[in-house]
Amino acid sequence: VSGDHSSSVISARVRHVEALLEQRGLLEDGEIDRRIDEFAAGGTPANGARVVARAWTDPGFAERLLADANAALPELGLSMSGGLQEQRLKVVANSADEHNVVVRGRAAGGHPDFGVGRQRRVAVHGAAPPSRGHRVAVGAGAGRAGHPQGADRHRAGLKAGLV
Amino acid sequence: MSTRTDRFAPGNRVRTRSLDPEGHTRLPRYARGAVGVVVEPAGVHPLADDRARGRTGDPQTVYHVRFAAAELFGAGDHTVTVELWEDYLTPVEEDP
Repeated sequence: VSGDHSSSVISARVRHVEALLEQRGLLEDGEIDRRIDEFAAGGTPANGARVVARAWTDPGFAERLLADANAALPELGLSMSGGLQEQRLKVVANSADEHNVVVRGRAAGGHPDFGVGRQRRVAVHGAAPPSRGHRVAVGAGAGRAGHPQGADRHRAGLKAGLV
Repeated sequence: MSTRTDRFAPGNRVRTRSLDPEGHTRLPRYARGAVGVVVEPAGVHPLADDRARGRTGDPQTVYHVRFAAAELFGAGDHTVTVELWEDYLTPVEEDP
């Protein structure tokens, strides 16, 4: 999905398992690619933008979204359950004295000066005036334990809501 | 197979593992050996450290754990919330 890994050991193993499944009639030719494409086609940052726009204009929805985002999404015809398992979506809101910054897991794993620290400063300076009470949410990537596309959509939604 | 779920509740104080593991982990280096507060559980997922080693990985609860930035970086008046597997956490006994 992210770059070409065709020579890696895991790719070889996946191709082998896929071939066996197709050989035994458990999978149709190209079925996995087709399903991934279908799934990815439904996930777009525009979904996150719609959710945020609705929250801006509908205080009741905003309240339900913050309390339980997974339960609120169906009001807009969206869900986090397009993958193999439902992915949890956590939505947070900025206020006058609390500012949230979501940092991607990969950056968060490095040295603070090169990952979290730098991104945090850039994002906070570029976004809003409050300078105290920052709450930095670091996605260590638990969502990626499920379906990778689900995690991407999850992050896109959060980004749209926060930045 | 030791599937421990919901060992911690919101508000519980926890300390992260200080071990430097061989290979992959999703416990960031800067958050090792730090004391934070559980915000809420965030679903049940197979431990990524195990999966990266080719093991199945017992599903266990992932928590949002909030740290004072000063606890992690020695400076800063904000907080940092990290998603952490139960395996990374030990309870911090409250002072009697």
